[in-house]
Amino acid sequence: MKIATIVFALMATTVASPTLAADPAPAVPLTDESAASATAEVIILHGTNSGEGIDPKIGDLPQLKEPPFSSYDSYKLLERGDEKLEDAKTAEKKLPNDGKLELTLRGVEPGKKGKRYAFEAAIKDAKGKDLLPSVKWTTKQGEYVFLAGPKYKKGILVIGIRVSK
Amino acid sequence: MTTSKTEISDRELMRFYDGDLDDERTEEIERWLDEGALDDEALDKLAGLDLVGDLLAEAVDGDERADDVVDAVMAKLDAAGEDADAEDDEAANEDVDAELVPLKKLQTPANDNAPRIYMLAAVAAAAAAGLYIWGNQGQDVEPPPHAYVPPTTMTAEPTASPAAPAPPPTAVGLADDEDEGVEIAAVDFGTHRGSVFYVGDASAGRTAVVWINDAGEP
Repeated sequence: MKIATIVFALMATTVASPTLAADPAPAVPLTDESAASATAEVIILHGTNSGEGIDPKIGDLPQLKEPPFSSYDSYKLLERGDEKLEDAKTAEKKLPNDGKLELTLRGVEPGKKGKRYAFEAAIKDAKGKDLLPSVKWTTKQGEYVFLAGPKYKKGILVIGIRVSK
Repeated sequence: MTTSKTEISDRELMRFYDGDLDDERTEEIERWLDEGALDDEALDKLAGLDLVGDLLAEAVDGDERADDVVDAVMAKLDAAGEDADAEDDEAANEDVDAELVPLKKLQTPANDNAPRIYMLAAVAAAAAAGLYIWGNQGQDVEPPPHAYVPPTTMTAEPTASPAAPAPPPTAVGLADDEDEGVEIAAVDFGTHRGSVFYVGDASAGRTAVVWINDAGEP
């Protein structure tokens, strides 16, 4: 058994080694370089208990009638827009409460049923403090992830993010 | 007295320990060992390899997958090309004004080298643990059933204080099961409390919701 080879290979992944660290064992590619970009649709909703119901401009989102969204009876569309994302570059979007959404594309990989996308997001409050330091997820095109909870005008903000193209 | 000692590259050291060097080079390094002419770092590394060799051998000996690791590493090293070989040869053939170092230093490292030995031992322990897990992955263990009942919730408590360091970043791997749609890989709520929900079902599409429970007033 080539013990030294295994030890050095493992060390190369944990300890800086001038010989091996720069040339580690083959890694599994995470990113499809040819498609390391995406356009994310970002919708910002205002959830309240005003009794006004769900804004038809939001479109078909039956999830808003299910828990945990059903803790608010009304959702109004405040904003809808696209964010062009390049691999590992963070896009910033100002929120209605003067907070900030940071959105980063972490990888794109071809799959059996279309590409899968890896994202990371963070939310900061109006003072620049971390409200949600980090959330990482993977998804396929068209499926929303919602980040909810920032307080705004007697309700909350709900941020929906999905890959639009 | 200022002296220099013979240096040996990691690659050669690795091959020497594994018995992969040609006879001539092996004899040369063995002679350096006998004469105490190897540099301290190489001695430390050899001592570390001695220390961890038995441990790793117990974990991987006889496992063919370990051979795959070795083959992959060697293939990568070989692909590094002639430049690396030339550097190794150059380093190995440097003329030296060698200082005799007792061979017992190889068996009993000096205290000032202890941190490096401990580092090697720590790496080896981690490696052994990893290999143990790796070795058990092939066993036929029935995974726990996990029927999906929407919505599901995972709640996180806040960290101790705003100054507390964030947990180490979790690698974002793309989900193996492509039918799962959205998968939350990691959430750091920082000083806040929060929950993760999965709403909907697989047939109609599943939505993930990261809900900050105490986001405070605007």
